[in-house]
Amino acid sequence: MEYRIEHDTLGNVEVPADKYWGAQTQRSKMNFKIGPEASMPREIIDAFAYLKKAAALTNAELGVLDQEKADLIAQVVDEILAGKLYDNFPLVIWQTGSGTQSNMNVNEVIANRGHVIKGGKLTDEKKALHPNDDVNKSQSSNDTFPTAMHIAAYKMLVEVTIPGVKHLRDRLAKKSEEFKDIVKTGRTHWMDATPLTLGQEFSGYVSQLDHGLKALEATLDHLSELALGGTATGTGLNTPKGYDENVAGKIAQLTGFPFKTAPNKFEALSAHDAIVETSGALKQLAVSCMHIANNVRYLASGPRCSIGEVNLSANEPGSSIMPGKVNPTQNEALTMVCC
Amino acid sequence: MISNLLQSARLLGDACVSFADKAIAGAEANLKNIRHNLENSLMLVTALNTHIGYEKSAKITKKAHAEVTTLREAALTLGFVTDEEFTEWVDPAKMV
Repeated sequence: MEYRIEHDTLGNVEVPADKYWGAQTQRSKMNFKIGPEASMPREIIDAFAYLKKAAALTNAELGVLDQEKADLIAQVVDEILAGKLYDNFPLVIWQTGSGTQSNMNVNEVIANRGHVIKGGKLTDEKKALHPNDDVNKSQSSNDTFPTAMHIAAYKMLVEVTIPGVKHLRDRLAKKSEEFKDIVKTGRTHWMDATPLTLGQEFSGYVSQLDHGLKALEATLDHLSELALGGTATGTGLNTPKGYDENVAGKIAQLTGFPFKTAPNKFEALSAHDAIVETSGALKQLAVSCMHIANNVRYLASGPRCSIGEVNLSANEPGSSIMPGKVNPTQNEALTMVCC
Repeated sequence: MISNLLQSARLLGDACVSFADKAIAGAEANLKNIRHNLENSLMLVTALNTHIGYEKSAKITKKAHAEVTTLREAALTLGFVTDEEFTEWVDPAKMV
């Protein structure tokens, strides 16, 4: 493999010649061989890309960064968001606790790729963008990483989790209506109990998901608060006046989600309570889904020797040795996810 | 922390869609088994609580269970209700 020499404050480092990352990324790659390579989630890289663009545009607007440099940063960010540079983010999640090395990975890739876009070479001593002074201007890993966490989590909930759970909720509601007149025996303690309708049973599942969705949606407000602008300790050192609100507004504009600057940067930097809160809501939903998937598979057990009150679709052969066997595989997948 | 959260959030969303489309969408009630289980449930006796009391109702249940008969047979043998009363009071459709 061919290498070029990159340097940081600790000295020179050999970096693969064809990669855009720099010395600090390479050091992390060598110092933290823990778990599978490139395990930092793509959603975090993308979230970083959004915030780097927002920071550059805000810095330019507030007169602390040349517009030309800001535009160049924005151009590289668009390439990252288009998925063109993912093989330039090789770091693992088990690194420094602040995520500094991933922040620097993004800074270095943007600086070096920007330089190449401007017609420069990766081996040039002087580059068009400096990873710390330009790309990381008005930022610290301490405010960027929590910001990236919030952006990534918010997007994931709104784009994947909430629509997914709602879809299941609506399907169950449809079945609840379809089964509303089917009177069946109830069971408590898995023993015979007074009757109810199959629709009533399913309506309980719908209500569980409604409550879970409410809990999950309630976490969005806290997640929408961004630490960016707090810099190293929450005081906002090295940021121009009005930077925090402006940059949060830009992130909101770029992502289409209502992000705002955190009213208290000390909480936003030093704690991850919004993430814990979200994790709690997800746990509630996981417990609900576990209950639903288990109940439905017990009702669907059989076909001859168990309860057998519900038939599920036969999606695939269930056994490699028992001919004709069909299993509640979707329920099993859901319960494994919920564990 | 965020890696696990993102993984959980994606898995839960994806798994709900999969379960909704591949299991729930095609779910059908097995009316034959539902009716069979309902008719055999000894807990239908609960409807008699408000007419003859918990203790007499429990006697009916225990007798039916021990002698493997229907609730109706046990109730009539014990003389706690008439055939007509049983039909009127022990109606699963009125119990939901």
